[in-house]
Amino acid sequence: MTASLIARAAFRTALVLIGVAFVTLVVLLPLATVFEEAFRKGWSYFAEAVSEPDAVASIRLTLIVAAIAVPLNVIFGVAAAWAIAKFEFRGKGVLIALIDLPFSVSPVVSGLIYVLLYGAHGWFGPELQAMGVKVIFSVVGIVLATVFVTFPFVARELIPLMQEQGTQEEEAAITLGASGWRTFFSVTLPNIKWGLLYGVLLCNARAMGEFGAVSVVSGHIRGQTNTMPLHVEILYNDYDIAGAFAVASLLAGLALVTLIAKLGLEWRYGGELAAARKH
Amino acid sequence: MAANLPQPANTDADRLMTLTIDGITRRFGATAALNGASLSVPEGSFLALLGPSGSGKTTLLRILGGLDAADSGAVTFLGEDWLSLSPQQRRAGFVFQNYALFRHMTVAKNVGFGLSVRPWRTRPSRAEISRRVEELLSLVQLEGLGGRYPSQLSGGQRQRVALARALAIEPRLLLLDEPFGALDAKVRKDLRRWLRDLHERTGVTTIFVTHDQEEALDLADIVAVMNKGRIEQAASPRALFDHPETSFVAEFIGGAARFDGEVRAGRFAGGGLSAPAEMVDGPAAAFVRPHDWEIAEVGGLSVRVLNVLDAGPVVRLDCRSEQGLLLEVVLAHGAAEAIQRGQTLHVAARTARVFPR
Repeated sequence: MTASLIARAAFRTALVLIGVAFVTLVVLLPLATVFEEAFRKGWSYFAEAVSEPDAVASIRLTLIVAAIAVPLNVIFGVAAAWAIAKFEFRGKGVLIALIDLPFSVSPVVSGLIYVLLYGAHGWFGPELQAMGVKVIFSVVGIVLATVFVTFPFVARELIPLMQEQGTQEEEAAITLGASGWRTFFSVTLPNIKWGLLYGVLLCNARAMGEFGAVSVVSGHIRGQTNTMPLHVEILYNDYDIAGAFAVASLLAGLALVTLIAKLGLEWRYGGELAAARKH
Repeated sequence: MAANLPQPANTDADRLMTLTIDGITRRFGATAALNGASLSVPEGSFLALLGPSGSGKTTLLRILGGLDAADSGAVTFLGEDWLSLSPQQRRAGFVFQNYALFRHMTVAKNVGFGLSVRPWRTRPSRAEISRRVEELLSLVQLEGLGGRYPSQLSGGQRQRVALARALAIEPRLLLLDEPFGALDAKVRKDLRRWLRDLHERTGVTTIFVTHDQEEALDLADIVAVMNKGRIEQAASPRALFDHPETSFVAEFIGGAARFDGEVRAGRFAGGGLSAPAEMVDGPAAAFVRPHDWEIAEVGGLSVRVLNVLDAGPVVRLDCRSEQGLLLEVVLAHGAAEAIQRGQTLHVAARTARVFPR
């Protein structure tokens, strides 16, 4: 082996070690700590912490919010990606920029925008109040804020995929006599299903974990407008460290499930994409 | 149409029996893809749309298939205002350049798609669909491959699946976009012959787009030569070859050399060429095909031989005239003996086609 080869091997090993050390320090260690802290006072304390009424209410609210926000973003995300990938129109660049907006705006700011618009002293607040609709400090506001923050996930995932696939298969279906809906369900949807699932997964993880925007619009009413991340914060501020970590460990568990499902999908969907390219 | 009015005997029948394309225009932004394309061919024709890229052939095909809309103009086919029909009502089988097979469906599902999406009232039973699919697969010589996916097939096989899929809807009009473009020479030749046979058996009016004039002349009954969004001439291959009506057709078909010059008193002169011309005086262009040259006894065009291709029954010479024009000269073996590269030759045009410029 020549000196330069040895140097290269040493360099490679050093890079790998730096990477591993960084990931351990920044990702793995904190993650392990979450679970360690959650079970510090034993299994029974953990069970109690996640089953007390306020915790259950926060879990239920989180699930409800995700159950509304994710389907909405699937519908809007597919529609937006479809429009962008398959049609030419004026203002396409603006639409793409708008879809990316939630990524570039701080979640706190997006929460504040909703307060400004729908709050008691906001632009539409008084009218809505007169109609008996309460947006801020209620589930409606939390859903709106979550939809806003998670909007890019599905659309961003689908746009490049749909652009690459083009419109020819849809055109073929049309000439064979298929209606628009039939074309969508028989041709478009099967072609994007793995990408869509991937987007849904990321969207769901973010919808359940969102803190900033939700925190602004929720009002932190225990047992009513607290989602899991907000509940964790409240417990933490009450010095119930073990309780806070117990609920946090559920969120971290969700993240792990998402990660595994994502890896599984990448494995599956990567093959599918390669086949599509070959075609 | 009022039945009691006397009509010229064959008007109605003619309209029923003809595909008439009348003044189709289509603009994309500032550029006109089609600029008043007009054409009339009998039903059951095998028609080629031939032209250089950007001449509007594919746009015209897509408009006929209902995938694009004309800005103005009309199409009458089978006695109907064709452009007012939805793609479903038209029942036009369309074969795409790169086939556009449904990648997530098996070959059998691809072929059966057009039948399975019919409204339930007219949809054949599942057993009937699979019987028809089998029939079509054997028609395109792909028996037993129904369970494969498109990605597991060769180019030629995909092409035939695309054809079977288009034929499954019993098309009233079959449209093919560069059908042989992506295939190798041998497969292309086989498929051409097969398509010709199929057309003879089914009699479906078939239109295909190509930029390959040999393919168009070999396959079609009628070749429509397109240029800049218009149809320059539509005629049988023979007529197109022998009687080009425009200078574009004269130059495009048969690889003719172009001489720019002037006609005076019934004679064309320009670029060193002199030839009789039956037209009024004025600027003109003359076109001479490679086969229409002969060795000049006296005078003629002085050319320098750049390359000699002596293979088969003829000798091909790449030449350059004194005026710098590159031209191909094809001579019979006997006439071209002992011609060397670098030699100067005097050639005369047996036939020159002259058009006003």
